[in-house]
This record gives sequence, C-alpha cells and structure tokens, in this order.
Amino acid sequence: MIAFIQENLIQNNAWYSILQGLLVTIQITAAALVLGTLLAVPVCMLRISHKRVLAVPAQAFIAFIRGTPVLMLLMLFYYVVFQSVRIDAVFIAIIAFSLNVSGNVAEIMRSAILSVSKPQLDSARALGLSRFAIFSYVLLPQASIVAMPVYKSAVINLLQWTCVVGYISITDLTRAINYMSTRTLEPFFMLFIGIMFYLGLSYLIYGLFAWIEKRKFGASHRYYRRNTK
Amino acid sequence: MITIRNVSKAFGGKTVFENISARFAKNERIAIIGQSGVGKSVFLRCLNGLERPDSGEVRIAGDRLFGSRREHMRAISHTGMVFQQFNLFSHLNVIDNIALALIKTRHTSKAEAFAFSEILLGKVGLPDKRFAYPSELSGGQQQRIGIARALALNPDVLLFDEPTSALDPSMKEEVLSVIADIALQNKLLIIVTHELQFAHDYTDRILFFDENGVYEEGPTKQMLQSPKREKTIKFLSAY
Ligand SMILES: Nc1ncnc2c1ncn2[C@@H]1O[C@H](COP(=O)(O)OP(=O)(O)OP(=O)(O)O)[C@@H](O)[C@H]1O
Ligand SMILES: [Mg+2]
Repeated sequence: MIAFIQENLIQNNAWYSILQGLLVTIQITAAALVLGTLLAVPVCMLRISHKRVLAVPAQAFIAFIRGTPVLMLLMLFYYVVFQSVRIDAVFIAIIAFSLNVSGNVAEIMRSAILSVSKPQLDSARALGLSRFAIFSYVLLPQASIVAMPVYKSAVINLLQWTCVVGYISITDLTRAINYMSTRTLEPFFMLFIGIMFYLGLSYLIYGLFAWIEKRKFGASHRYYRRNTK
Repeated sequence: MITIRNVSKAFGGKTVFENISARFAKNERIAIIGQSGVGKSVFLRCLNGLERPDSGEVRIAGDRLFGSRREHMRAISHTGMVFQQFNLFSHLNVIDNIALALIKTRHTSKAEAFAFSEILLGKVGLPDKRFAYPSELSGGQQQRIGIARALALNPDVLLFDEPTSALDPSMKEEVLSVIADIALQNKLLIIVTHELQFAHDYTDRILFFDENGVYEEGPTKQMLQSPKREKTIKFLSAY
C-alpha cells in the first residue's frame, strides 16, 4: 500500500500536479462566486424594477445566461471574444463562470425577495422604519433565509461545473487527474483521489453554510450574552 | 388628533369608500364595525399611510400623511398598529421584535431599548418569553407581543384591526384585557372589531361602515341601544 502510493503519487511528482489543479479549481470557483454574486445584485435590482426599460433587458440577460450551457459561454469567450487577445485562460474562465453565476444568483435573489410577505413589510412601515431600515433589517434577513439553501446548491453546482475548463486548456483538478490517470495507468486510484477532493470541497462549503445559516438575526443575542453574567 | 377630509379610495376602478370626513380627538376611543369586505381595514390603513387615499387628506397632530417625506414620517410616528394576523417579524425573537423600531428609528441605546421592551413584556404578561420566536408562541401570545411592539414607540394613536378575530375564545380574553388596559391610558384608540361587548365597555363612539363608507355613527351607548338607520339596526340585531 505504502509502496503503491510512493510509486504513483510521490516519485513522479503526481501529488504536485494534482495540488496545482486543485488550486486552479478553487481559484476559479471562488473568484467566479464572488464576482458573480456581486454582479447579481445590480442585475436583480434591475430585474425587480417596475420600470420596463430596466426590467426587460435584465430579464433578457438572465434568460440568456440561464439558457446557455456554461461550456458554450466558456468557448464563446475563449474562441471568439478574446480570440485575438493574449490573456490567461483562467481569467477567461473566471469571466464566463462569473456571468453564469450572476444570472442564476440574480434569479435566486429575486424569488427570495418576492417571497417576503407583504404583511411583514406592513408591520415595518407601520412602525415608521425608513426604507433603508426596512430593507436592511426586515427584507434582507428574511430573503436571505429563503435564499441560502438554494444559493448553497448553486455554489456546489459551480464547483462541479468548473471541471469543464479543461476544454479551454486549463489544467484544473479534473484535468490533472485525467492526465495522471493516463501517465500512471492507475485510473481507478487517481479518480478516487479526484473524487475525494471534490467531496472534501463540497463538505467545506456545506460546513460554511451550516455556520452561516445558524447565525441569528437581531441585536438581542449579543447584547444579552454580554450583559448577563 | 386625527383629521380626515374627503378621503376616497378605490382599487382598480372599484370604489371602497368616497368622501369620508371625520375627526378623532386626543383621548377618544373609537370602534369601527360593519360587514366583512366593506372597507374597514382599508380605512384604518389610510390612517397610518399603509394605503394612500386617491383623494382627500389625513392629518395626524397636524402632520399630513403623504405630505413631504419628513411630514409623512412624523405623522406615522404618532401611530402604532396591531394586525389581525399579528405580523410579528418572523426572523426576530420577541425582544428584538419590540425593540427594533426603538433602536432603528429613535436611535435609543440598546440598553434602554431592551430595558423598556422588558417592561412592556411584563405589561402584556409575558415576561419570560424574551427569547422565544413568533413561531413558538400561541396566537394569543403573539398578539400580546404585537401590542407590546405597537406600544414601544409610545404612540398617541393606536390602531387595532380586528385584533382578536384570528383567536379562539380563550385567547380572546387575554388579548382583550390587555387592550382594555390601553383603553384607560388617554390615547386615541381606534379599533375595528366584532366584539360588541368590548366596544360597549371600552369605547366612546362607534362608526358603522357599509359599502359606501361611514353609514351611521354616534356615541357607543346610543348606537348599540337605539341605532337609527335600517342597516345598522339589522346588523346589530344579529348579535
Ligand atoms: N390591496 C388591495 N387590492 C385590491 N383590492 C383590495 C385591496 N385591499 C382591499 N381590497 C378590497 O377592498 C374592499 C374592502 O376590503 P377591507 O379589507 O377593507 O374590508 P373589511 O371591511 O376590513 O373586511 P373584513 O371584515 O373581512 O376584514 C374589499 O372588496 C377588498 O377586496
Ligand atoms: Mg378587515
């Protein structure tokens, strides 16, 4: 067993290639998640606007992004948009995946915001809360409770879909594993390692969300923890 | 305290009421009664800006609703509302429900806001429910928290929209007794209700609504004992 690992992972520096691939996967996933989510905010705001000139383009953008396989977007950027520009393929992947995330997450945000019931907002208005306060302390928290589980699936999906970046010659985790499978002629072992890494990342994400979803809203928790001893 | 001049409201061309004018004085207690669907809730919601009248104006302590933004917010700040379905903030525990507006609109310190909220919790008889969430409370308990929340900003006007209609009889009593306390506190209290006994015991004046608006009004005793107009007589004889 030890000899086997020694031979297939260590002697040929396979572990190094795999780790490199893992880092690329994490890099693309994290960057696309952050950029895509940031971009989703204005897209969602335009989409829920009552002005048609704002809502319709946003709706078209969302429909286009959600209707297009992310691999197509990826190839579109790689072979067409940035064809004559020399930039890093990883950068292109981040752009394509960010757009993909923004369309999906804008829709997640929209349905979460619409799910907040009118009576809850009536209560807030009747108390004389400002629009900003209603948004920050009632609408957003309640929408986030609805959005979190769906957002979590979107993140896991993103992680898994980044495995197609091999198509534009990026060596991510999947491609590194594929490469090592052919080199070592131990595909089962290599795939096992690859799957373990994806599973590990997924569990990390689940853990992170479990922690976020456990958070409580309102000022009382911290206040009473501090002042009752 | 509240002056209503020629207020009309329609939804999608369908008139709810037209040209209602009324005055409610500082420590009057008003009951609004009438058949279901005649616009009692809509009228009440016009008194704190939840609905915008199509025409006419509502002034609270001189400040006009839907005047300038500042005037509007000042007008609202005189009022508190209790809803039929309680409408507690589902993501906040009881003490945060009560303290939220104090902290966010009056910029009261947390220490003061929570201390005052605890006093209110005592007043509505739920001192040990500070950290409970609305979903963990019975309807009657939720409504008592709803009342405490409406009292947090110490408003001069309290609006109740059928506060006990969603409760079974045993819980009605506990909520009505809390409202009865408030009725003795020199506030303007306006309550839409089907509890005629409560109206009889604790209000000064009754407005009877029909599909066109205020159909008949008068002092409580007189309205209940000798209503003058046909629909009022028919409505009251059913009780
Ligand atoms: N937001 C709204 N949009 C359209 N129509 C509405 C709206 N709110 C109320 N209405 C209509 O206005 C009319 C009056 O409704 P309202 O809720 O004020 O009746 P109500 O007297 O309070 O009845 P109930 O005793 O059942 O509460 C009803 O016909 C109702 O359908
Ligand atoms: Mg009603």
